[in-house]
Amino acid sequence: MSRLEDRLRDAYQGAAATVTPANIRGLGEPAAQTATPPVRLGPVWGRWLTPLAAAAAVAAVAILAAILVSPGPLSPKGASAEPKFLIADVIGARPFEIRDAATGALVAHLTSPARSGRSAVDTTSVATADGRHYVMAVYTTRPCRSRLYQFQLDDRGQPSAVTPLARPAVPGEVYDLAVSGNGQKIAYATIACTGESKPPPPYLAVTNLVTQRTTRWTLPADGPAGSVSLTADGSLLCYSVGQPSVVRVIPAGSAPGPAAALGRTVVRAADVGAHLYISFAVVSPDGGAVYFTTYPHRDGIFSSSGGQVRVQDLATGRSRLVHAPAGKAGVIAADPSARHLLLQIQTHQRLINRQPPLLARLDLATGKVTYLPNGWLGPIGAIIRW
Amino acid sequence: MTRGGQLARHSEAADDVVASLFRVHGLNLIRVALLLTGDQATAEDVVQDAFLGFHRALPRLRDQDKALSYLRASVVNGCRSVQRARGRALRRRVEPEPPVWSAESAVLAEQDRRDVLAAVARLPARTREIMVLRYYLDLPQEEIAATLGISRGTVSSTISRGLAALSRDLKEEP
Repeated sequence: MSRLEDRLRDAYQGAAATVTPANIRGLGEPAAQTATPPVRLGPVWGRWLTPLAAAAAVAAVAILAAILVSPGPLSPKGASAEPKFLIADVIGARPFEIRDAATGALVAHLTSPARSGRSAVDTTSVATADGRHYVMAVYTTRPCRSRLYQFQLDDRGQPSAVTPLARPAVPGEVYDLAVSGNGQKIAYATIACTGESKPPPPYLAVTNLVTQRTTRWTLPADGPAGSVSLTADGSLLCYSVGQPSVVRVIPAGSAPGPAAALGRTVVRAADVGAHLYISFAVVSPDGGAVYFTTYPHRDGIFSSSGGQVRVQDLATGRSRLVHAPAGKAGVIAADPSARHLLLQIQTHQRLINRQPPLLARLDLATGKVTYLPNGWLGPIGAIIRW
Repeated sequence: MTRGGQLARHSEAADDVVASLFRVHGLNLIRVALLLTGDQATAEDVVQDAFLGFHRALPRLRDQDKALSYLRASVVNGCRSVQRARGRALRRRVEPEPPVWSAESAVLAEQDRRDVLAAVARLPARTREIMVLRYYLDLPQEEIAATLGISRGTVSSTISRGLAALSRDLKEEP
C-alpha cells in the first residue's frame, strides 16, 4: 500500500470519527413534530421519520413575455398587476410545476422538452414578461450548451406545447433568463456546466428577437452573474455579481466586451453596510430604480437574520429600506411588473431543513407583506418564476 | 386475522428489520455520507432518507440479504442528489454549511487530513464515491461495482485516475 493510500485512509478515518453515537442529532429522541403522520418505528430510530425530500436538481424558467414562435418581437403589452400563476422548480421534485400564485395549488406540470442520452439534461431557467408567454432554457453537458424554448399558459394555467425558440444552441449553461416588458429582447447569464473539465467562460447576453442579433459580454471565470433583468423597453440590462457583491447595469446597445469594463455599478453591498451580501436584484420597468435584497455574512457563513429588501434610486444613488424579512430571504422572484417580490424566507442555517421556508409576497410600493401557503415547498424551497 | 391485522403485523416486522439494520449499520452509513457531503447534518438527513426508502421498499425486496447493499447505494445516490442540489442552490445564493475539511469548520483539527480531504473534494463526484467505498469501507472492487451499478473495470480505472490526481494535487507518489 502506498503512502498516499495510507494518508487517504487516515483522513477518511479521522473525519468519520467525528461522527459518534453521542453526537448524532436526536438519535433516540422522540420523533420531531411534522405535518406528515409519522410511521411507527422502533425506539432506536424513532426520530428518523420526517419524510425528507431528497434534494435534487433545479430547473429555472425565465420569464419571457411574449415569445417567439418565429423570429420577431414577443407580444407583451405590459404585465398584469398580479400574475395568476407561478412556475416553481421545487428542489427535489420534477418536473416544473405550474401553481396558482395565490393558493399554491398545483395546476399542471411542465415537462422538459429535451431528453438525455449520456449527457445530463436540465431545465435551468424560465422567464416571462406577461405571465402568459414564457421562455425556457434547457442545458446539456458534453458538450456544455443550452437551448431556448417557448411555451404559453392559458387562462387555466395549462401549458401549451413547448417548442424550440428558433435559435442555435448557446455555449454554457443558461441559468438566469429575463424578458423585456415589450417582449422584444431576452437577456441571460451563463455559467459552466456542472462537472465540465474545460468549461466555456461565463458571459451575459442580450438577444434582440426582432433582428435576431445577440451581443455578449464576458465575465470572469470565477464571477458568474445572477439576477438578470431588463427594463420594459429592453434598453438596460441589470445583473448582480458576488465578489465584490454589487449590482451593475449595462446599456443593451453596448458593444461586446468584458462586462466589468462596460456599464456601471449602481449598488455596492459595502455602501449599505459591512459584511453584507446582495442575494437578488431587479431593475424597475422604467429603469429608474433597482430593488435588491441583502443579508449579512461573517467569514463566509451567512446569517439567518438581518436581511433587508431595499430600493435604490438610480438617479440619486440613495437607497431606502422596504422590508426586513424575519429570516434569510434566500430565493426570490419578481413579478413581471416588478411591483411585487416573492420571498422565500429561511429561518434555519442548514441547507436541508425540517420545515419549508416561509413564502411571502411583498408589495414594493407599500411594503405590505402577505404570507402565502408554503406547504408545497420542499425543505430547501423552490426556484420560482412569477 | 383481518387484513388490517395482517398489515399491522407486517408493519411491525418491517419496523423491527429496519430498526435492527439501523442499530448495526446506521452510524457507519452516516460516516460514509459525511465523507461524501462534508457535513454531518446533511449526512444524517441522507441516511434517514435511505432508511425511509428502505422501509417502503422492504415488502418488495426479494433478497433481504442484500439490504446493506441497497442501503449503501441509497446513501451514495442521496449524497449525489444533495451535491447536485447544492451546486444549484449555491448559484442562487443558498449557502450550505462548510464541509468538515474546510478552514471554516472546526470539526477536523489535523491539517494533513484537511488537505487530503480537500483534494478529494476536488475529484469528480463518481471518483469520490468510489474512493470512499474503497478506502473507507474497504469494499472489494466487485462490491463497489455492484453498489454503483458499474463494471469492475470502471472501478479499477477510476481508482487509478483518482490516485493519480491526488498524487499530483498533494505532491505525493501514488
